[in-house]
Amino acid sequence: MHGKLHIALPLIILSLVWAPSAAQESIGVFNSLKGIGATVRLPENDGVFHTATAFVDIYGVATSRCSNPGLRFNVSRQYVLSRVQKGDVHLSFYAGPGVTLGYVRDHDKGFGIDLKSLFSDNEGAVAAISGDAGCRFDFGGSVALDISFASDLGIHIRKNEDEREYFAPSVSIYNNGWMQWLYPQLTILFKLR
Amino acid sequence: MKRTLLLVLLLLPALALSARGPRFSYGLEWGYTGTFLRTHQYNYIYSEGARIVDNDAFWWYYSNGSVLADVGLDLGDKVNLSVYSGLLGVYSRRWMVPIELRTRWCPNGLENNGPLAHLGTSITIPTSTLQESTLRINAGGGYRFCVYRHLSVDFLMCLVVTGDHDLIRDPDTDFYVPSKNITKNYSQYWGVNMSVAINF
Repeated sequence: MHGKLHIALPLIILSLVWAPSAAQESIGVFNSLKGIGATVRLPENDGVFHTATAFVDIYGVATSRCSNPGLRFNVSRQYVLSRVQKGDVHLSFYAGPGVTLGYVRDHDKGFGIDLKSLFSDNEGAVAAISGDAGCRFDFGGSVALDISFASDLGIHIRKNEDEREYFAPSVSIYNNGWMQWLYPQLTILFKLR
Repeated sequence: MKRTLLLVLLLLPALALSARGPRFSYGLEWGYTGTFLRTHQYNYIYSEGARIVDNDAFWWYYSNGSVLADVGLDLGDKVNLSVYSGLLGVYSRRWMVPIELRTRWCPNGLENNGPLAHLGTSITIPTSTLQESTLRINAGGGYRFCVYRHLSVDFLMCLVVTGDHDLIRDPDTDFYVPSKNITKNYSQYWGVNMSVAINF
């Protein structure tokens, strides 16, 4: 899976950048303790806009526990709640639901440091409903900044590591989805038009 | 080398004062390091009393992350000198705290869009021991987007060489070799770092 990851990721990012070229408003670099990736933000219409994000999930990589990251995709529909003008800076507060899919590791043994969890290699597929809220800082130039928080509520399907003889899928709540909700997300947005 | 670095750090305020119009700068930087080459030089006596001399290099890809914060001074319109610190992942299950002195040169000006080059040297301290510091060197460049007044965003790529002292295991007992039996213990990690920085 991870041998193909290095090929698949650039292709996914390129497709995200090029696919909606007829209507896109901005593309961006997604930065978070969750991972790093690319974002496409479609133009706002009647106080509603859509965001598509693909990023490498660095859970486990950030702690040097493993080398190969996971992948997460999210599409969200955002509602602009309020706008504030502070001098040259224009702030837009927004929130909205979305859908998350991916292939990632998960924290699977409760809270805190758990050795079994830290050393287990529980890669698996994730499917979740997401919710996020944030603020976009528009400085009037070609670059804007966006800070947001997001949470995912869903399931994580993976191979059961206690059953090595045959394929036995294990299904659980995707714990990182809600445990990482306080991880800030900073997106650097480049306006295309 | 460490003394030289310390001397430069102490001279930093004097340099700033001598430059015209110094301004403090602050920043955050985070990134990804793809380590592709590991070399080591070991010379130690193991449990049976014989000496082992082991010098080797091998290609091996490993992903790590880094998070740094910096404080510095703009020396003129194009040069910035900053001290960085934070956390660096180095190879497998290894974290280091660097104290880095980095020079950034923006030919178009520090507060304009344009390319930049940087060169940094750091003392790195492993979090596992908080001693046995080593050296780390990075050199590279990138592009700066000026966002608003003093706020800017950098996209950077650089070559990184990180030194380390490994925990050497005895080939017979698998215990760690005591430091009194080690004559030489150096390793180097070569990697490419891609990072994003926000300056304000």
